[in-house]
Amino acid sequence: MKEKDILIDYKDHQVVLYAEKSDNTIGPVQTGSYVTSHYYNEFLSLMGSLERSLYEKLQKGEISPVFLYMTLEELTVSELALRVKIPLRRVKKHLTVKHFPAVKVDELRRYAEVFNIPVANFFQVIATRQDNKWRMGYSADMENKKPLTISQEETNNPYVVFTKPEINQP
Amino acid sequence: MSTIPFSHVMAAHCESGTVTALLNFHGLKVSEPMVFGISGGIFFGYMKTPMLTFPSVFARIKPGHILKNFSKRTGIEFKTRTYKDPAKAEMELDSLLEQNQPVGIQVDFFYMDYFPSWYRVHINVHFLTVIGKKGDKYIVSDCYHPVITEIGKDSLRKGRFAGGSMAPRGFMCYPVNVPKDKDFSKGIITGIKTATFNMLRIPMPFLGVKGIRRFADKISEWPKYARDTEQLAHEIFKINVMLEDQGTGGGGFRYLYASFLREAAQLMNRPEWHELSGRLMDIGDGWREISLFASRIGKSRDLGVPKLKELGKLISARADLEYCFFNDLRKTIA
Repeated sequence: MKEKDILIDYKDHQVVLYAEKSDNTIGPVQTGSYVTSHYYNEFLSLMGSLERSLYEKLQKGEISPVFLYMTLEELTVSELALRVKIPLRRVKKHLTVKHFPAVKVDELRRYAEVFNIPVANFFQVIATRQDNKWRMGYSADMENKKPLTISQEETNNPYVVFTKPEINQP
Repeated sequence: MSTIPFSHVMAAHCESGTVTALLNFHGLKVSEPMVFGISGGIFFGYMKTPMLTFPSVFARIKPGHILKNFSKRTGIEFKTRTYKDPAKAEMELDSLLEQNQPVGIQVDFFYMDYFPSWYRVHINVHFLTVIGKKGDKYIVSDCYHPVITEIGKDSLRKGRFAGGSMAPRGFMCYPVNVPKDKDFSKGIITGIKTATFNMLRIPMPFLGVKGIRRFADKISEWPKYARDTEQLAHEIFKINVMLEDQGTGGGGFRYLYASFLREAAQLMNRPEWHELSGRLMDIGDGWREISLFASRIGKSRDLGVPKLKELGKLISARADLEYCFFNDLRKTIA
């Protein structure tokens, strides 16, 4: 691959590729990511539709919150069990609506740490984006037109989160 | 505590990039391809395990082995440690930073919150260099990030002590007694031996060239693992990510290895390696075509068995070429 063939102007996702330079050497070239620059919207739409369908199922009581986050984070049950240090059989139970109420609070905290969310998020669905810049899956939604952002801050108590609605700056 | 003056450069791959940056900091001029090549980094594997949501491919040796192999083959000693206690790990990291020692660490990429959330996945084998601390934040040089950046103490702790497969267990490393100059000839030969052995002779049907063939055969079966077309499209897109974007230097590490061969050819006056590096660049172009083909069919949702078989044929052609390539490379060191 020649250097000139891989150069892509995409500042948001930079990668280093190796390519043949004009002096016949092969060296590193910092450039934009081809896949992100061409398929980012496609990726957002795929993940957005998955997120929406999972939240719908959650609200209908068809899946447990643990199942929702495990699927969104693309973890398998075995990997999740290893990460939360809970026996596989027990994790499998926590994925079902029937057995989710049997999850202990400490176990929820461990799940929350793996999913990097506050414990409170297992019991609520927040309709507005949590973060204008980074939060994905809602970018094409009309809901984003609302001038509200919900931000959540950790407190020193691992079981409590500070949820703060804010008016977006124009 | 202040930041250590550290020359930050982006690199193709996090582990080889981190090792290279640490050595360069200590005054040894070595390139990323040389580190990658001496460690015998090039590889291929096709896996379907309970730890993965979908069959997956990888094009490099086991994480951690670039550092281990490079150190063993060059005699450049790296001090490495893992921890059970996060507080102790943090204390020792702070103490090394106080001594102006940049430290390479292994983390779960998911918690590296200086990257946007859509980009972050749970993968326990990301490497970066910590170069300072300011209050509750660590200053880091991450090869995948364009500039030196910072990360909260808690996020770094979560990343260093994430559980799961290949858990980092607080792993950290730094070189000791780095020479200003080093003859890499022996390491280059050993690295090439490892690469050819790994690609041609490991008796496992899913590793090396056999792994590429298995990937080619099995890709048409992928629809049965997917819950719907959307997930299948997502996984097909990921072929591109695994081969191009996810720290490979392009063409599934083939360009990076070609660069190593070209540098080694010059260093050891071996024109045959120069010729082989050109062939490997062409093989890498083929992998890039596969990535682009996968992205196109993923986008158009043209994911029927005939299209996947077409993709399989492209992959199979790479297996034939790589078989010849690595055999020829093996002959040069016989």
